[in-house]
Formats: sequence, structure tokens, C-alpha cells
Amino acid sequence: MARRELTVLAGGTVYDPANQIDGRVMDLWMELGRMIAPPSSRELEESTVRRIDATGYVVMPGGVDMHSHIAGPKVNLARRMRPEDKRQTTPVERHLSHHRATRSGSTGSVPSTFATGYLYSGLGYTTAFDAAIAPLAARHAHEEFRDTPLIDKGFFILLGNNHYALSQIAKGEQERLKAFAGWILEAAGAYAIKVVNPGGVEAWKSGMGNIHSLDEPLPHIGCTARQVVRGLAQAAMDLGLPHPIHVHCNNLGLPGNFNTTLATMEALEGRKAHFTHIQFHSYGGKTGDQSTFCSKTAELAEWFNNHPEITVDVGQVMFGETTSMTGDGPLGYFLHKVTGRRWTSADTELEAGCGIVPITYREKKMVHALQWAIGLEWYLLAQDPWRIAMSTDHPNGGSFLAYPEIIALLMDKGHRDEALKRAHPGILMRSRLAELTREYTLNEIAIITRAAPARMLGLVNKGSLAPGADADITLYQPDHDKRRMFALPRMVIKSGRVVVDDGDILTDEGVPDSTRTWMVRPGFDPGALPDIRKWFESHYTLRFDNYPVEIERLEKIAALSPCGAKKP
Amino acid sequence: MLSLTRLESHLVPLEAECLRPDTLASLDNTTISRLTVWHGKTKAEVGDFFKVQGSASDGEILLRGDCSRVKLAGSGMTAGTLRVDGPIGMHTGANMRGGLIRIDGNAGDWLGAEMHGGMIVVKGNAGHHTGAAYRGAQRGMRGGEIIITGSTGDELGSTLRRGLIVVGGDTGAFPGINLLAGTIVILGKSGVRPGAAMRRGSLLVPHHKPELLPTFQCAGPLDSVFPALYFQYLEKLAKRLNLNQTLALKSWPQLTRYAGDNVTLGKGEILCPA
Repeated sequence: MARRELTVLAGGTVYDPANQIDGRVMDLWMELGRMIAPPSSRELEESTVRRIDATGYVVMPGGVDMHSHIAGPKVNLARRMRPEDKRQTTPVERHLSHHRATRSGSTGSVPSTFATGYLYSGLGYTTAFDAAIAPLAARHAHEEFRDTPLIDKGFFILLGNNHYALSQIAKGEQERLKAFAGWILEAAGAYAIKVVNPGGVEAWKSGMGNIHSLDEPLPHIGCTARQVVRGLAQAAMDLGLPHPIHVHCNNLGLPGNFNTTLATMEALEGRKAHFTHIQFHSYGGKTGDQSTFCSKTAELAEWFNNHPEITVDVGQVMFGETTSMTGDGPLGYFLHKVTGRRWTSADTELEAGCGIVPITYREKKMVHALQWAIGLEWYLLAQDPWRIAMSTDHPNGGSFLAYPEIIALLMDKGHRDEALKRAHPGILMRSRLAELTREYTLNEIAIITRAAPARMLGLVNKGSLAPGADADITLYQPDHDKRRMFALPRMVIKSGRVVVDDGDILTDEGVPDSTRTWMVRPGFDPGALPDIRKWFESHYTLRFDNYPVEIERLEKIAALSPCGAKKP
Repeated sequence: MLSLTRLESHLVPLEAECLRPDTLASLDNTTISRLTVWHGKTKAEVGDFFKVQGSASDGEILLRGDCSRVKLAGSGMTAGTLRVDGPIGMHTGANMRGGLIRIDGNAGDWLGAEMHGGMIVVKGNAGHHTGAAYRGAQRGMRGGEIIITGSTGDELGSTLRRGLIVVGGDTGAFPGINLLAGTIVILGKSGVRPGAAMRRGSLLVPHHKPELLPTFQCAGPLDSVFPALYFQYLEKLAKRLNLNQTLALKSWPQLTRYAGDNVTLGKGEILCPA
């Protein structure tokens, strides 16, 4: 009988909040890329054991980024639009040696595909989701994912401005909307439904301005943002999707938008939803009057704390140069007008829009400093860390490479005060950040960077080190400088294989990348297909039969997340 | 003076950003021979391609032989002199901060791109994008002077922010595109669409009326001592650099001022015959 090959990660201080393990010294066992229960002595006799000594190291599940922009046409457009960003940052060099076969790549605010995988992995992350792919661009996203090594991936599809979805909502055809959502999720190989500025992008694309309130009807279609959010949230629940709808509200970035955000949360009437980059939606003040701009995090957080059906990720702004990219076309135009910098806008047929603008966040600029403070307020005011995930909305608020700095700001009030001193003093009046004394513990950091996002996404195998979970593990060297500690993990293990050792990427040439793309197959009513086909054939540039991503292409890479299952 | 003689010419370009007088000054010849250059995608050493003679301690380097495919020579240099006896490849003196580059031969594209200071003198022609901004950059050349006795290619001095570029001969299309400030003097013929999208700055074409974009407006004859002063300055410069014979300076006629480009700020000017 062939001997079993086991790996033991011995003696590390484990933080696994999903299993109520908070800093316990213990051994972790893995086999064939999965965590297993400690083997019995008889099992041990029949096995070859590889031992990794983790004594003194902090051990956490691999990081999970639930909202990031790492693939698809918008990311590619941004790469093309910013050659200077590529030129000013250190590239990833090609290595051909035996255990370090890495491909070359460029970094900056929008790294190239291979570099994205290496950088995420080097940071201790093993899973990342792209938050905005037009279904029409799903093929492109899958192709880029294929070239994004070392991390598991997945993406959400944009449905909040999709013509077919909007017209079904306008007609009150909830069942057909549900079938369409189920069909298009399968056709695209997607993971969840994303709503971006519901109705607003479509209005802007049609030359009718933007949508600024929930009950403003789209003139040519007839539905309102309220109906869109409600309808799609219901469809996601009826389909039993592991992740509820992922909402980017109307009025992103505008003073006074917290009213819209609150109204959108209330409009869901108890339905589950995830509100993304909530920082950008928590502003008080009057439109067009910067002097009134202020934080409304406290109001929103109070509502949030009392409504367990809602989860958020922050979208923290970090100071420095970055590139904003959004499916919110009118927002891209707004930013271009505000910053005066170059702008790309794109229109994806009947599905979505897109805007890309370079942006430099300056700590001495009041608006930027306040955005930064509002993000931190969210982390500190949200009482339940299981419902808030760390994100910078990469690269919109900053690169994911800023996560260690965010961790340092959250864990150390002194560090936060230092940063506050450097920022524009106007934020002291306009936000409560200075008076918040909360400091995150390592356990809470483990929750907001891996366990909570995995749970929000419904990924039972991620963000946990329980037997059966994926053996995605990160080892950190304990350090009083939390930024250094989290920026340079001592070791990263992906599916049981050591992929980062002391900053070196270890990839064997010729060994295929074993990472997977997470998707759902919720099923749908085939009776709805003829109507979708009819609409398709008369409106799209693509034939209906050519639209779905080839199933055989997906089969090789797919990891299916169960639908309709009860969440842990 | 350190003399580097190219052993043989090669079609595959050689990226030699280590060849700059300021950093080589403190190195002995063995170390210099071992400095890294990239031959295409292959890592190599200076000694593989050049015969190294003399000493760089006086801050002077001479490049000899066919260097038309040697890229990035003198890029980022802050002091010293780089002489090139013969042709030189792309990106020479890019991002240069100080010192002198003197080329007796033709220069490739991107000569002095985004330079901040110092001087580049070319006795010959230069390629496209001379003194230009790299793609995507918000500002191009930010200081220093580039004097070319011959002609240049397209997009001369694009997005120039400060400094002077003098071209003895003709230019390709779009000289001074996106000009932010600074001065470009073209003594021969300007290519089409000079100063497109320029915000501020001056483009002097004293002996040729170029084909102007419709977004430039005639502002009448120029009544200013500025061209005369510039002419004097160029005469002195030519004398100092020993270019009297090659940089043909004949007196400038009365110039007419064309203001533009009115698709942007419109505070720039093209000075040329009426």
C-alpha cells in the first residue's frame, strides 16, 4: 500500500477565529492540500511525515480579499492608460532557476496578472475576488485569472444596469429575473451578483444624467433603484447564492450620500446584502459645498450594528498615487472633472459602464484626509468584526499592498495618532476618529482579513483551519511593528504547498498552477430561456449560443460553491 | 579620460545605463568591465562588449565605435562629460541631471527624454521624441539644454516643462506637442502641426512659416527684444561649444506671433515669419 504523505506545521501560535482558536500553540496537519485531524499513531506508522517547524510564529488561515479589481477589461484598460505608473515602480523579474520559476511583470497601482498573484501571495493572501465584471467580459476575466498564479479567485458580475434585468424588474417579473440571474451566473462562470449605482450607469449611458435617489424612475425603462436592489437581492436569496447581492450604492463619493446609503439598506427590508466600500458612501454635507463635507459613519454604523443581515467591506483610502476604476461610469466622469486628469470611459453594450481616472490621495487635503478617517472609523465603530471585511477596494482607495499599514493603524492607537497629526487638521472637527480608542487584537485582525470575508462569501473551505478546509496558511514573525509583521510573512502555504518562503516565491517550472476559480451553478428555470434568447438575438452583438463561457474551459479550473446550503 | 571602444556592432540592442561618468569616476577598470549590461534579455558585462582603456577618475568618458544600438548611455547622470565619437542609440541622457553629453554623430530616439539639467550637444541628427516626456508622464524635460546641429524626428520636446532645445535643421511632425513651458528653436523647417495642445512656452521657427493648426491665432508682429536676446545667447553658445561652422546662425527676420493652442490654455506662442 502506498504510504500517505502528511505535512505537519508544528508548534505555531494559531489564530483561527472560525474555530474559536485564539492564540493556541498547536500542531496543524495537512494532506493532499486539505487540513486533516491529527492522525492516530497507527495512521502515522503508515505515513511519511514532512515537518515544518512553526515554533514562535503566528499562524493564520491564508488571507481572503473579497473586493478587489484584478482582472477583466477595466483593469487592462487601466494598465494601458498608465504607462508612467508602471515605469516608476519596481518590476517583478523573471526567474528561471529550479524552484523559482516566476514570470516577469509590472507593479504599480494596477499590477500585471502574474505580478498580482505574486504580490497577493507575498502578502499572505491566498484568495481574492474581482468585484466588477460585465458578464460579456467573463471570458476575458477567466483568461486573466488563468495567468494569475498562487491565489484562488472568483468574480462578481454586474447586473444592476443590465437591460434585460432592468426591464424584468420594471415589468415586475421577479421569477424571470431570478431565472435570468441564475442563467447568466452560470453562463459567465461567476460567483455573485454585483450592483453598481443601480440604474445610474444606464441613465448616464443613455445621456440622461445620473440617478441620485432611490425612487427616481429610469425614464426609458421605468424602474427605480429601489426596485433594482430589492429585486436582485430577492433573486440572490431565492437562488440560494452563497454570497448575497454585493451593493455599490448610488451617489458614491458625493457629500450627503449617507442618506442614500441608509435608504438603500432600509429598502432591502431585512433581505441579506453586502454593502461594499462603505467608506465612499458615508459622507455628510451638501452637494457642491466642500466646506460642509463631514463623516456620517456614526449614524450608519449604529444602524449597521443593529442589522445583522447586512455586511460591509470598508474600501479604505490610503495616501498616495493610485488609479480609480469603477463600473460606475458617471463617477469616473465626475472624478475626471474634479481631478482634471486623464479619463477612460467605456460602455459594455447592454450590461455595464466603466470609468478609469488616476488619483493621488494627499494627507494634507481635507477631503482625502477625511475619506481616510472615515474608513478607519468604520473599522473602529463596527462592533461585530464578523460583519466587516478589510479592503481598499484595490486599487480605488489604494493598493492591496497597503493592508499591513491598515492593520498597524487598527492595532496601535499611538500609530494612529501619529498619522492623524500628519493629516489635514480639518478632520478633527468633521470625524470622531481622534476620540476612538479601540485597538484591534490579532484575533480580530484574523477575522476581518480572512475568517469574516470567507464567511460573507460563503466559502466554507476558506478562512478556517478546521479539518476539511483548504490548507491555505500564512505564518507571520511576531513583531511590535505590525506593518512589518504583516508585510513580510515568514511563509505562505497554498493548498498544502509552500509557495512563499521568507519573501521568495517558490514555483516549480513545469508544475501547473493548481489554483482554482470559484463559481456557482444555482440552476434556473429553462422555461425562461426562449425569452432571453429572443431578446439576445435582437439586441446583442454576439449570438446567444456563443455567449456562455465554454463549459469545458471552466471545468478545468472551477471550484463550485454550493447554492442553497445553510451557511456555517 | 576613460575610453570604451565597442568591439563589434550587433543588431541586438545593448542596455547600458551604467555608462555614466559620475558613477564610473570612482571605479577601477576591472570593476567597470564587470558592470552589468543587458544584451537583449541576456545579462552580460561591459567588458564583453567594450575595450576599456584609460581612467574615469577625471569624470570623462569617451564612447567609440558603432554604438548605434547602445541604449541609455549617460541616463540619469549628474556630472562629468560623456563624449561619443560616432552614432549612439536610444534614451541617451534620459533623465539626466547635470554634466555634458557631446555626440559627434547621430543620436537615437528619446535623446534627453525627461532630462532635468545639464547639456546635450549633438553634431548630427537626433531621432524621434528628443527631449520628450515618456508616455503617460505629466511633465517632460524639466531643465537643461539640448543643441542639435542637424535634424530631428517627430514629437520634439513633447510636454516640455522648462529648458531649451535648439535644432539646426528640420524637425518631424508635432514639434513642441503639449508644451507646458520652455523654449524650442527650430532654425530649419518645422514639421506639421507645431505646438499642438501647447499650454504655454515658445516655439521659434525664424526662417520658415510652418503649417499651423487652425486653433492658433495671429497676434500680429512681435514687438519684443526677446528674440534678439535669444539670438545673442545662441551665438555665444555656438562659439563656446565650437559649433560656429555647423550651427548656421543667420540673422532673424521680423517675427509674427501666433498664440495658441486654443484647444487648451492658449498661452503659448509660435514665433515665425508672417
